[in-house]
Amino acid sequence: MGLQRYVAKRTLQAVLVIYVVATAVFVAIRSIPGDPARLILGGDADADAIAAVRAELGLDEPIYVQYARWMSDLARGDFGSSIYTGEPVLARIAGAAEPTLSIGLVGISIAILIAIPAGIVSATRRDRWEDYVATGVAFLGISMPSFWIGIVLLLTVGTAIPAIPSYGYASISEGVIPWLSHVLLPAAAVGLPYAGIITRMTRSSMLEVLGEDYMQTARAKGLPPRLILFKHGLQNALMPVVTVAGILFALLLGGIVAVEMVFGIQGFGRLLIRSIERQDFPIVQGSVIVISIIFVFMNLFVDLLYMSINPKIKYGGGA
Amino acid sequence: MSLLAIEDLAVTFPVEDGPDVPAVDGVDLQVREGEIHGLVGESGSGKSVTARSIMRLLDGAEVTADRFDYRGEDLYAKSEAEMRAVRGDEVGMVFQDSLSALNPVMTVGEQIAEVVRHHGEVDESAGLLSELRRKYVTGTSKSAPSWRRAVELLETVGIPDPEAVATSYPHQLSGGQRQRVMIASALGGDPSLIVADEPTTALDVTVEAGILDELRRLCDEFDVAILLITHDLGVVAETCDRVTVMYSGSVMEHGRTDQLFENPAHPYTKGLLRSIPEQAPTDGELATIPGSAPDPTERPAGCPFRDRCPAAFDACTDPLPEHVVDEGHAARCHLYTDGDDPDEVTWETGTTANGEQNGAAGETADRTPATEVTDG
Amino acid sequence: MSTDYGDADTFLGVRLDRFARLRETVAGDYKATFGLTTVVLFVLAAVFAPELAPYDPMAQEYAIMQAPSLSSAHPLGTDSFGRDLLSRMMFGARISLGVSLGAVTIGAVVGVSLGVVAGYFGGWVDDALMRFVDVLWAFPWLLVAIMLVAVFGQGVWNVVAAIAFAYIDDFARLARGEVLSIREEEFVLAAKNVGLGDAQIMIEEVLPNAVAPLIVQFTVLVARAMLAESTLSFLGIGVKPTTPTWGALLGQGRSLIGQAWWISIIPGVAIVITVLGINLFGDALRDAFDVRGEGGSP
Repeated sequence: MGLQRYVAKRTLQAVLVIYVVATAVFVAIRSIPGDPARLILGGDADADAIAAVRAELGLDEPIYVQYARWMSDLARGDFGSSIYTGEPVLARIAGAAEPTLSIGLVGISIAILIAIPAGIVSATRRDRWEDYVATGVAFLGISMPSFWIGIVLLLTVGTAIPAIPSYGYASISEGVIPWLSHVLLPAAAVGLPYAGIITRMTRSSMLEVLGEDYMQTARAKGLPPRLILFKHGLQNALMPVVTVAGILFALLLGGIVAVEMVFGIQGFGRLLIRSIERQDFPIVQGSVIVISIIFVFMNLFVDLLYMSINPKIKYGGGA
Repeated sequence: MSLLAIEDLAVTFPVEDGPDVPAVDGVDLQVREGEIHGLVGESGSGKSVTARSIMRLLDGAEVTADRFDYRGEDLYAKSEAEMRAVRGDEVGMVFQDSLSALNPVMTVGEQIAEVVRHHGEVDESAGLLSELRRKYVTGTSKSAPSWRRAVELLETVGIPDPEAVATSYPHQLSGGQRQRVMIASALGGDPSLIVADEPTTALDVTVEAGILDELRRLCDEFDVAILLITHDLGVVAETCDRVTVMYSGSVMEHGRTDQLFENPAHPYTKGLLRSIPEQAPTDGELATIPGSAPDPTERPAGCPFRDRCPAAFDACTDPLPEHVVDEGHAARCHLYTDGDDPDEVTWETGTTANGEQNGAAGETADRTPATEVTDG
Repeated sequence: MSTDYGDADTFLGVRLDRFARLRETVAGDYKATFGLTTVVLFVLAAVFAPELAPYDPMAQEYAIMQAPSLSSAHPLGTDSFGRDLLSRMMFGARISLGVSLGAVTIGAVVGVSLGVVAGYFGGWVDDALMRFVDVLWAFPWLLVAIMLVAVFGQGVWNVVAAIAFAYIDDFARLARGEVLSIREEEFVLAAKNVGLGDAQIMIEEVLPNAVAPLIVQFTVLVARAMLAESTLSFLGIGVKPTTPTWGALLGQGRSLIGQAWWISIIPGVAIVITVLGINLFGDALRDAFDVRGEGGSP
């Protein structure tokens, strides 16, 4: 189908998914045993306060009215307020986002910058020592939980090199060096498993490409090997990797959250866990929805990226 | 003078946990300047392997030959770097499956233009960095000399609206168009020899005719020799000046097309000619060569065809001789070692030159023609 | 590629000679041997934990809290309640094994059923089911786990459900792809001609040929499930606090990294070795069963 139709279809799907998630959250919160108002106010609230909140939230109204109110609130960006701090949920989340985004982006960047070349080398030097090392490290990487890598890094690099702190976060507004020094270890912990998967994926994709007929045609043209690899092979090899890389963002999430706990970083992940522990439901609800939105659009982005680099889809159809 | 002269070529593929595969065993081949030379054989005959050996694209195989000269220079004495200068520049190759042989993520025009650039046909840089920049950053400019030449070549091979086609991707074109693109790309370096490996096998008959005409035309106009590999004798009859017939890794017969068709010497050639559908009587059954080609690892000693040959006799276990039938026409068959007249060997009677019915012939006569020859 | 195996002997739909190949692969390749050995040890430890564990995993000995490894009668040391780490790890193996296998099995059963039905019937059935699978796929599994914990509290079954949920789409897509390529094969058309019913064909003809890639996928996902469970338990949103899964042990040791680093590190090492073993073994399976994966055609 045409490009525009595809984009429209996928955007519609994205919205549908977010809608389903919001509904699921609505259902989940109301499935928790107990009075939602009491949950929101916390255990010690008095009857008047509870009644007030119940009225405010429309808890005595029919369920479909509540549902409609919920949806319209969300659409307006009103995710409620934190029980713990009283802050509006979205603002609270936004405030905690920077460290998480930093770790995620730096982690992914490091991973990709190392993994793709490693995968290519692995494929072109198949079964030689470069291959064994890269593949071995990749296997180890995908077998380690991010948080454990974080702990190990903390105990080794963190204690050995004073310049690299093992705790806390520094915003980029305080300078790139402080920021990077705080972000480096967590990002490495998160990035390593990701890099492992990307390396293996790149390797197998590259190996497949190397066996394709058009690579032989390129040789028959007398082109030099490096040109054949980077001009003829690379794009074809990376296309499946792009797809996988996008899907893998979901795997990163668990890692980032856990790593924030290890390094004591006050990021979004930590906020989420603490909120669950404290039963700060508005934050939990809001976080779930925000994460879904981010994921859905990230998947959409990756899909579109793939479509733009694959001519078969971009210029579909043929004679 | 021969453009390409190969003598006693043998190609063996080593196999893990198994016997080595002697795909080609003692092949002589000579291609002259400006001629279209057909290399015919059924699948498994080793014709594709022979073709790829010219380009030295057989990784991992053991290749030996008494002589393997292109324009008098030993191709197998060259280093890989020197060979890269030969590929594309002196010898171009056209592959059978145009869809898989063309890179799906590059425009057709670019795939031709790069050959032009790389072999210095135009004044444009073709270094690694410029190529990568062209690929990932700027794209190839439509006014660049290599692109203009690519469009010219597309027109030369008979593609209408070459400008538009040049910006297309392979999957957007028809099979016939893609095959022409491959030919254009083979011509990009202005070679003297094009090796075409079954270029029309995947195409339907009308399209095939167009491509063959094109090849003939190019050969005449540009004085390019073409080594045309095929399993289809009809194609050979239409297009080729000279023919080499291969079977199970060896040459059975070679000569001018008219010589071979009018006066075939080898029983295998005769069998092939007999089985061309056009030759069959309209009310009769199609003739075939009973049995199938042997597995290369289980090839019989001597003549590989003897198990299916109606005229086989005990001398056929000896290594193949070369018998000259006429000028430029020779067959490798023991039937002629006594200097007997080839006309007496036929498929119908299954008699040897000295008029005796023999065991193999008797068996052949009993088999029904419905047994099919494995075809390419 | 799936083919008609005709009279070739099969076990669970996988040709017997593939098992021979597996044996060869494992024997010849030290990585695969290591993988298999690790997996076997892990399973043994899990199954026979009650017999093999030197101590009661719940027994608290305040006298020797936080004892380092090999420092006392406890080979791997003790945690902050004086509980023997080795015993807790052996029992933890049981739970981890159960959770991972359980979760992946449930995900496989649901996913494969969806995929086979979608692939076999095609048309609107296919569209509808795959749309459903897409929605599932877009849900990050962590969120599902969080919501389950929020509603039901911590517990093993929440973990199993959340992880199973995450893998349904994987199996569904894989199964559907396999079915699509087998469906058009001749022996299926032949079965139809003979008059076999749809369900019968799906179970008897289609499924056995699709099994090999599913087995490989299953193995790989068991490894991932173990990691997922350990992450959840580490974060405190997995199993109940007293349950000694390896992730939970790691979580408990988090605050003690300075003084008693072994409480976190050693279970971690166990996780890494076991998951690595499963991954290596899965790779060997993939090679032996000829599933499209690493490497192109020779």
